[in-house]
Amino acid sequence: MREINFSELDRTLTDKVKEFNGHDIEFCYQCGTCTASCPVFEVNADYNPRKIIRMLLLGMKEVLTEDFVWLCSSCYACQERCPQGVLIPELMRAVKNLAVSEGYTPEGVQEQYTKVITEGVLYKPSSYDNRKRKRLGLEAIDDDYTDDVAKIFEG
Amino acid sequence: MKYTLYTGCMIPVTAPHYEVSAKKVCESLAIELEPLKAPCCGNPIKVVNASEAAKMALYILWLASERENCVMTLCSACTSSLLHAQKKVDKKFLDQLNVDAETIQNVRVKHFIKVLHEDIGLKTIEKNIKIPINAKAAVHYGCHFHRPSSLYTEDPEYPHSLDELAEICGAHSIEYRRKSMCCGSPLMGVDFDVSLKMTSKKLQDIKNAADFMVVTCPGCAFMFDGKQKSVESITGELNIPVLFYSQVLGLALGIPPEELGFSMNRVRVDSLLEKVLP
Repeated sequence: MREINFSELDRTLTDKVKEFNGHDIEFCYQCGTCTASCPVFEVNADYNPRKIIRMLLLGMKEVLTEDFVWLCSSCYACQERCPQGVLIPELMRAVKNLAVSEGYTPEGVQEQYTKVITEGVLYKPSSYDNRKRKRLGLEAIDDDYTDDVAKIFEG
Repeated sequence: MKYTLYTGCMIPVTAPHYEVSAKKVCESLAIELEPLKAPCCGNPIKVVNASEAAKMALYILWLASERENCVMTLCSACTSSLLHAQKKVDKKFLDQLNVDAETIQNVRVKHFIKVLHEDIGLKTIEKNIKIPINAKAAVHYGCHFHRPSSLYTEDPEYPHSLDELAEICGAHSIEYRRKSMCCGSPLMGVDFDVSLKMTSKKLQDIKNAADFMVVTCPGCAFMFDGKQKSVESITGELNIPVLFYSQVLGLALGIPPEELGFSMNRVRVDSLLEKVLP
């Protein structure tokens, strides 16, 4: 078991998560229904939603730098079963958004983000994709959404 | 009936067979589609910045609001993004677009499967079935098709629409463990190994129990069909055909298989088609 140094805890952590649209997690009574329902935990025990909530409630800010917070697949199985109504996938999203604002973003996630906000799409058809589309009787796609994203993010 | 078709950005590239078969099925059932040229729904950037993602979804709804039609989506992630954005609108952004919240919240959004199940109805579909698909189907709903329950009408644990739609085509829809569980696709870019393991769990659950799998979302197909070969390094041979529901219904409606994009299915479907077609 790891030792927790109380002087290093950040008691404002849950408030910070709330600023990123995370909801009340104080209702969590650590029953572990979320973890027991989680298909990610089933294959990788590093991702343990119950434990992440406990770390947040204690103010263990190192949770933001952990790779495992990125492993929520947002399937909502936990949320539907939580007896205390904690909106867990929203919470995990808020934790990720907070981690990003503090400078921790996995490379692959950052690449996806940059692509979407500059090109307007994650998947842009290549000439090969368009040949496949034509073979199926679909029209080729050559849409440019750079003006749309400029309009979306101008504010 | 007329709908605005919003495919999102993934389907036209990774699942054109879904797009073409859905269009053929709609044509066959006299569902008129008006395509909406629009960017991404915002789902892929939620993890980085949820409020920017919401803006992207609101923008799509704003484009769609210029028409009277209900928006028909094919991708479950798009459906969820649009419905979620309607729940809590970013008023400042709507001012920027010069549109009011009510207009955005009044845009109806429905997944293709729900259009078939609720608007067209099982009875009408049944009347049009020409070739019953007599085989065992393992339907996979995909999370964002029915969860969170705050956005949808279907049961979060035991959804039934897709089972019923598969059975109306003549298939026997099987029960299996982890039926309503995740395909693993959202973690592809974060941890490939974890996402493959999640995919493998479900495929192993249906191995030997079903003749094919039925999906309704390009993300799920990307894993179960596209990555099935990689999964086989964990599980051994699987060889489970993965069909979009639109392909299954298309066959049952008597649309020739060459028009339903089967050349794009990664796991070969030949022996399945041979078994079920007259």
